[in-house]
Amino acid sequence: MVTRTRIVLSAVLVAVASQQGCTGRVDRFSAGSEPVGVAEPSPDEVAAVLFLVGDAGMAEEGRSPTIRQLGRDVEAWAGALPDSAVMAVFLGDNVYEVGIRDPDDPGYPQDTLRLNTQVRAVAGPMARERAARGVFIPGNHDWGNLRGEAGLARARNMAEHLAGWAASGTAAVAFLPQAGDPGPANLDLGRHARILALDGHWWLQGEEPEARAAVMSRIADAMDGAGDRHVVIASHLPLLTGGPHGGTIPFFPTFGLRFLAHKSGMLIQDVTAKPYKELIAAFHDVFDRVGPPLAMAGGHDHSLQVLEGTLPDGRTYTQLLSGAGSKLTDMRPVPGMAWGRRAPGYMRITFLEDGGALLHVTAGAAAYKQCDGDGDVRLQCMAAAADSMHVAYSARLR
Amino acid sequence: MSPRIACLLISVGLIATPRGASAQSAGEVVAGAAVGGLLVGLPVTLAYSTARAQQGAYAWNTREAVLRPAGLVAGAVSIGGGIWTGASDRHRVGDLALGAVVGGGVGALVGRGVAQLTAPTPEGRWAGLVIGWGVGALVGSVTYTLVRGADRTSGAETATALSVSLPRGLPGAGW
Repeated sequence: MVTRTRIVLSAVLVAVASQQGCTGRVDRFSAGSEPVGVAEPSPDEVAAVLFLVGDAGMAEEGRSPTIRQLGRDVEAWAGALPDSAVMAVFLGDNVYEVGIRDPDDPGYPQDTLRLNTQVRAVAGPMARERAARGVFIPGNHDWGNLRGEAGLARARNMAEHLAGWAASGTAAVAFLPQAGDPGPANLDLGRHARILALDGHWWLQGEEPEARAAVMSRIADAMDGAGDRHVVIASHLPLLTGGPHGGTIPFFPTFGLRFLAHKSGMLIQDVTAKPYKELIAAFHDVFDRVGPPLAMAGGHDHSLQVLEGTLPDGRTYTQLLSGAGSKLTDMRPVPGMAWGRRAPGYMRITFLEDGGALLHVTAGAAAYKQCDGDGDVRLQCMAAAADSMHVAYSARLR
Repeated sequence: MSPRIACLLISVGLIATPRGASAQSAGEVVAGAAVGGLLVGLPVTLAYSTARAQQGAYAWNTREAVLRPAGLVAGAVSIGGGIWTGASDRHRVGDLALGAVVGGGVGALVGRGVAQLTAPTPEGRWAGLVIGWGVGALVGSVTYTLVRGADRTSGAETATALSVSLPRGLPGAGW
């Protein structure tokens, strides 16, 4: 019996060791030398600015250095640019864990508190004066991780709450595409950018092939009709990721179950599940027909990643993964990754008057994803976190 | 199935355990439950969820993959079976573990091999491995436990027939 026990224990230890080794987790990665960089443009060179932040659904007022810094950046750029030239897209999972529950539910106050924290990032005085916009696209948690009518009710709750903010005139925010509509919702930003907002969770619910084909057809039309505008497709689900949904899974705390579930394609939220693979293939087909967009923007995994995907004909597209708004998960270098960091932060695309487009990634220290505690402890944490926030990566997209 | 019903099934296993002279210590009952749950119930549950995903019924998170109703039944029955095994004969817990590990290993290899022929994608091969693991663990544990149990029972009868009496009062023995 003792020998058998040793054999079993040894097997477990080998499994643990191989898991830790095989996942190759890192806190930061750069295909080139850091800091990679392009200079910040002066405001008179800038036509519009698009902020991308995802998975911010745990952020709470006064405790989230990332959202506070985002708000400061929105204010600064709104003050420097003409009206309607600044937009922040919240890339889904805007409220953890189960979206916005019904108003009579005891969890409703906390759910709305988390959403309001993000809304306030685009509701500062300058943002209001210059009509900066906040767009919230749905993620799986905003559907309550549910499907069908039960999930749709959560999405509707979020849409109604945001509509209340918009109606009050205190923030130009919207839930897009409309709850239950897969999209795309087309949003033009200045003269140079078009943002297509999608509901990726709709796709995963086993919709009919005809309905899926219609969505992709509308995306192709919107891209085709964009003319000289750069197109950014905002969908919670990324097409590429070096995070857990792409297979970077620590052995603990699920003792390998999550790894097996991922590898066997059992979990619909992972890129290995058949519906998710069909979504990726459908996008590739569209890009193949009408050309790649400036960038795909998503969250889902909780890190900051800049990746390059390759189409069957060899052309490439950029996948921006900005899912570090309030949570952090592991990441590792995967083929096509140009840069990645396990750190709280967000991304910004700056559209230039001359038609160029720049990417800047703002990141802070991993220890400061959220400041807990009260009084001076929290204030000191917020101050230290603000000091740690910096442009960690920048590049010319076009 | 709710967790309440799973607990009920485990309770039935505990109630049905042998009493009196054949009953074993609490440690063996716990060991049986752990072996049954982890080495048999868990792979069977995962295999079920994987098979369902192959049919288009995906799990929406890891928790759902493990806590599907049918998976809970498999887990509860396995734990109950492990408890019964541990309570009836302490040697059988080892048999149960060995049967589950060897059966699971062989099943995983066979499953992966079959998937290589029928679903030759990376996910298909892993799905075959997981399904094979679950089926192998179940079949291996039940089969090996029953076969070894039968061997041990027949061996015990033979030992009784061969019992000997020690002579008493040998010179110089001091007793």
